[in-house]
Amino acid sequence: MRYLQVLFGETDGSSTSGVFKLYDKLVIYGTPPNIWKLDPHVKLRIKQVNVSGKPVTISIEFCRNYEDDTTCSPVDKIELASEGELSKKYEYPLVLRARNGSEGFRITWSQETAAKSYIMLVIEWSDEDGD
Amino acid sequence: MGFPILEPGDFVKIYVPCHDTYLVFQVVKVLNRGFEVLNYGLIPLSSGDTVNDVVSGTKTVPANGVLPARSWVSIMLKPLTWMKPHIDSEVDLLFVESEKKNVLMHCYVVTTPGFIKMLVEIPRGYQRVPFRDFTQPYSVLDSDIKPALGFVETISIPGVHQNVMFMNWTNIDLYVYITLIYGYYNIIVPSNPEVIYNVLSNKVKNVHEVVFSYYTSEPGVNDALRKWVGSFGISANIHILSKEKALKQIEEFLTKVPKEIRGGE
Repeated sequence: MRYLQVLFGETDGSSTSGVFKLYDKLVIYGTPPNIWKLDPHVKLRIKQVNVSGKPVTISIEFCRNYEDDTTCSPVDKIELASEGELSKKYEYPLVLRARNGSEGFRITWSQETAAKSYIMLVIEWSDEDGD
Repeated sequence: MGFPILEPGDFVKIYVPCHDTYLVFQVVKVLNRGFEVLNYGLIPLSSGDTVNDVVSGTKTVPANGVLPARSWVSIMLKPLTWMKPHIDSEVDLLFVESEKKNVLMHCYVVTTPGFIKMLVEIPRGYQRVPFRDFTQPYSVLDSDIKPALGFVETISIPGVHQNVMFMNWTNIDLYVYITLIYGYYNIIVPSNPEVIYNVLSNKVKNVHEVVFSYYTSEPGVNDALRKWVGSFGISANIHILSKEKALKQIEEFLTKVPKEIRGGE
């Protein structure tokens, strides 16, 4: 099984830091959580990240416990230094895995001045062998 | 990822784990050729329905077609409204009535999103996962035992209802869409023991193997198997026998097969 998903998130425009709510309106009902749970049977590959709007630094974070914000640490940071658009296509996808099912991931933002910025992610869920 | 639908002339061998046996059929005709994909729509759950928490307890469905975060449900796929006058069961789209012995429904149940955990439950209500020679409840599918993800393959044995289990392991409430990719075949049991022997010995190329997801004996399913092919099938271990003894076992199996599904009759 390989399942591609496109996620969209935006800053709230009023806080200089926060966690993106990641939406895929086709399949997500209601408001998604801050931290998405990972599963030991499914690998998550982040293939591409687009950042746009006002300057922002985003941080992709792996969390040891998807129910505890304090267990998250960055695996990649992307800085949009000036207003515009930045696209990062991973030459080798960023692979996130779970070992026991308590793990998760989130994407945070930080800005010098609170303003609207946006992200778009292309991710792939897969249970197939290999990276 | 392909979901192969068989062609006329192809063989299908169905493994029955409960009895460690095989049933062998040859496809005579594909009745839905060219129209194998059915967009079923949202999972048949209504707002307010109760589903099972992955670990323990229950959860309430928040809106039609939504499988709540960290929950699972085991259901029959009920027919869409327009199908009802033409189908064998008002409550089970995958059901084939027991009189239709020469029909086989071969189906892939595919979900969007593609990371839903799934399995086929036969008999219905037997909510256990086999592990070696004992079984465990569905909660082991959360992080221990890996089931199918995003799709499950099944065949319908005449007279047997089946449930499909859908597990949303994520912490997000999800709309679950279902697509069925299926073949509705006319089938026969090959009347030549040598042909069956070659199919079971992997000496024939156009053979498709499907597991009938039936792991623990239940009288209703056993009766349906007996009514369909006269027995539980051919021992899966015939490959350890001499060819002569294997052919004898197959001949014995064939004598019990009802004549309406025996080839050459």
